[in-house]
Amino acid sequence: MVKPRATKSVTAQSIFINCPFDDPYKPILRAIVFTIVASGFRPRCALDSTDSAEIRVKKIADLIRDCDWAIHDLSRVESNKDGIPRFNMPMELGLHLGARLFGGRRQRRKQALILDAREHRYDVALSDISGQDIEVHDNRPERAIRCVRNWLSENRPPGTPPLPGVKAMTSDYRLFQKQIVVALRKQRLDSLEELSHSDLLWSINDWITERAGQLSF
Amino acid sequence: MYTLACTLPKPHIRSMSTPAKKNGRTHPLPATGHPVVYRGVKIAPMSGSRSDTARAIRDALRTEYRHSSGKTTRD
Repeated sequence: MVKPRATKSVTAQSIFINCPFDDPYKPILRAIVFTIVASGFRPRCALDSTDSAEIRVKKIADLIRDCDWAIHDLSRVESNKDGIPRFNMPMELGLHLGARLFGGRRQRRKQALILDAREHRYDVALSDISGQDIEVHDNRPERAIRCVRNWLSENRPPGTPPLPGVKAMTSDYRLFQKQIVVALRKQRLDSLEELSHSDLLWSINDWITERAGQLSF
Repeated sequence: MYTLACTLPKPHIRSMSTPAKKNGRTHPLPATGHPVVYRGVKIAPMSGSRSDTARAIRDALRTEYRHSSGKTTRD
């Protein structure tokens, strides 16, 4: 099925997350997704839909095309237990940079945040981007919140209200985690770690809706 | 006996002559709900359908917040 292109307003609010999906990375992914939603943007990633018949690289390319923003986490360039590093994330970063270099006017406006777990590691692993600013999250969700929030705040369109501060966002994220765990336990559902990406997105959105109602009282 | 290539059926031409059948929706589902303002930021409602799990979590959160604020939450 041919998917229609996203409208201009949707692409302007969409952030493509190019990151590992392994279990140790999940706390960082959840923190990044929360920060994106709490900043008024829409997170997109390969977990959005699970169509086994879809060609993966095409799906990724469509996501990159439809998102004006992207977060690329290169923290899995280290070798795994078989001695092989993951090349997916650098490849998808390459697709993003290619779209920005050779794409149309809209594609050339793309913004990117490149993350890594350790400082200056990319200088060796991916020296082609060594001149670019890379943020380090140190494998800590709170640091990831800071990186994403600050990047979105610095690059937000002129005239838009400032984003909540790092402290407010981090404390809200902690509260979300606490309350969602209670909600899951009450409903006898699986733990937060087992929640599907779609359910996590809905939960964050619902929690923010309820929290916003409480903050406005 | 030989068959000329031009007399063979051309399924690709037939399929091209008819419009491709849409086997699914081509546009995203409209967003349900209203935007909310959270710490000064406008949060758009999500689009698409929510699972039973997500519905259960929403109900639990609503109940929790209704108890904590002592007020009813909006639908």
